[in-house]
Amino acid sequence: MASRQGRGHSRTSTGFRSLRGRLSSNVGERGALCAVLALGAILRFPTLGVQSFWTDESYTVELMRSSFRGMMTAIPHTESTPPLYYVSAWLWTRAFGTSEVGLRSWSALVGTATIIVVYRLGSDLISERAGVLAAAMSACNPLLVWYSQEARSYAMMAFLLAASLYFLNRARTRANKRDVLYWSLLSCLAVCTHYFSAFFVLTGGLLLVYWRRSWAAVGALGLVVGVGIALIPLARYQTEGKSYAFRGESLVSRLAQVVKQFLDGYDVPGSCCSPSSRFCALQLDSGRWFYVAGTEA
Amino acid sequence: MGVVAVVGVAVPAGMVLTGHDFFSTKNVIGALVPLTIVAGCGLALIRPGTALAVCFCATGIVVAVAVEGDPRYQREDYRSAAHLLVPRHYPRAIIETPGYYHRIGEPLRVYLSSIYRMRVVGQPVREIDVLGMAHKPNGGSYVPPSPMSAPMLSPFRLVARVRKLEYTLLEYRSPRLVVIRPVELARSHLGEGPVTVWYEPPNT
Repeated sequence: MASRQGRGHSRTSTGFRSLRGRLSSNVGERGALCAVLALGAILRFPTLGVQSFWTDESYTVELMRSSFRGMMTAIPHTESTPPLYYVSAWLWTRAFGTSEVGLRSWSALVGTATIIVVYRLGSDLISERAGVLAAAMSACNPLLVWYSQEARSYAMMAFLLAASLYFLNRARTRANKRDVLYWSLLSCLAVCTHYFSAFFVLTGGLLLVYWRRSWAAVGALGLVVGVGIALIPLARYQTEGKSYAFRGESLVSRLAQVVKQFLDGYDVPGSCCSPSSRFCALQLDSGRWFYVAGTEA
Repeated sequence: MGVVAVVGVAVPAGMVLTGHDFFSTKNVIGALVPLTIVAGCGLALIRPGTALAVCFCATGIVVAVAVEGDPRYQREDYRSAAHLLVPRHYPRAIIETPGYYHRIGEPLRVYLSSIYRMRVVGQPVREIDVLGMAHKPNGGSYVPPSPMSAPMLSPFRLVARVRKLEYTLLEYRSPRLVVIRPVELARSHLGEGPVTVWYEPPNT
């Protein structure tokens, strides 16, 4: 009896220790997330007014200074993206104005919100630690910071894609139709923000149909495809006869630039000796080490 | 996640080969989200993951701070150019390169609301400001505008020159009002690309 009581006591104290450990670990991860979120906000908000509006942003400024109807009429002629970002920014600027800080703060807000979504997604996929690390990397990524300070649709596109991926993962792991519905709605919003979102959400949608094999998943994908098809005439009109500066560069150099800008940001001159490139090499090396260690084990 | 990121970049890149060329970093920025998650999850699985993530974040912070502190890494500075173009008590023309074709989306007009496109028949001016914005290729560094394409019309004389990393501004002044047509003014410009000729009425 005494021994059973002792075993019971020992089990209870182990349970308490484990709970305390989990709680302190959770508190630690949550504290780290708060720190990461604060860092992301500090990198995005205080310097919103440092830089001048540039050409592309000046289109947004003039759209924001128009009436709602005037803006909707002008979008097909001046923009190459669907109207959702402009509608949301138009509403935002009614409260915060069209100065550099007022207009760009909408992008900064959705850019900061992306950090939280990335954290939740990383936590759901692997662990809270993974969530914090992914959130930290999205908070400090120079390109995400750059576009969080630009009055264009890219930060909002990244946020909606992150939210869409979050519900895609939930729909994969839980048998809940609501997650499928949320994935579908967020994917539609992403496509209504930027046409290139379609490539990401359609891939996700096909994976969802493959994972779930249900009519709900097919219907959700169908809704996204329907919205995409409905936007095709606008996309064709917007891109007809327009010239884009990037077309002067070869595809190979543009692909190299994608890698460089994803690591080092928009304008900082990159080279094979830049800190991020070296870090990337280190990461690849550690990945190889991890693979080799795993194989040996 | 990785599959979503790879397809999101590979399909637009493949479309270039079929003649539908819209491939640029900003259009595939959506890939950065799943890639960040893959990297975060990968780092969480290895022992030095946190240290590596801290290194990556430190690099990002350094870059972000460098961008805010160094004009070389920043967007084109139309605001500073507009501040140099202080209002005058006489009418003037501004020759801007590169100018823009659309009726909206002119960055200089965002900061100088009093300017408008000069009438085709011409308008009287006493000052002509020639503004050439430095060209900045995607992700590259500033290339200063090429010199004046043609000498300025008489009787306008150069009175001031401002040369900055982001632009060059030349101020020409005449002792009297001269009626000039925009097509004549557009011949004398800095840099390459389309030319826009603005008119600013006197600031009363």
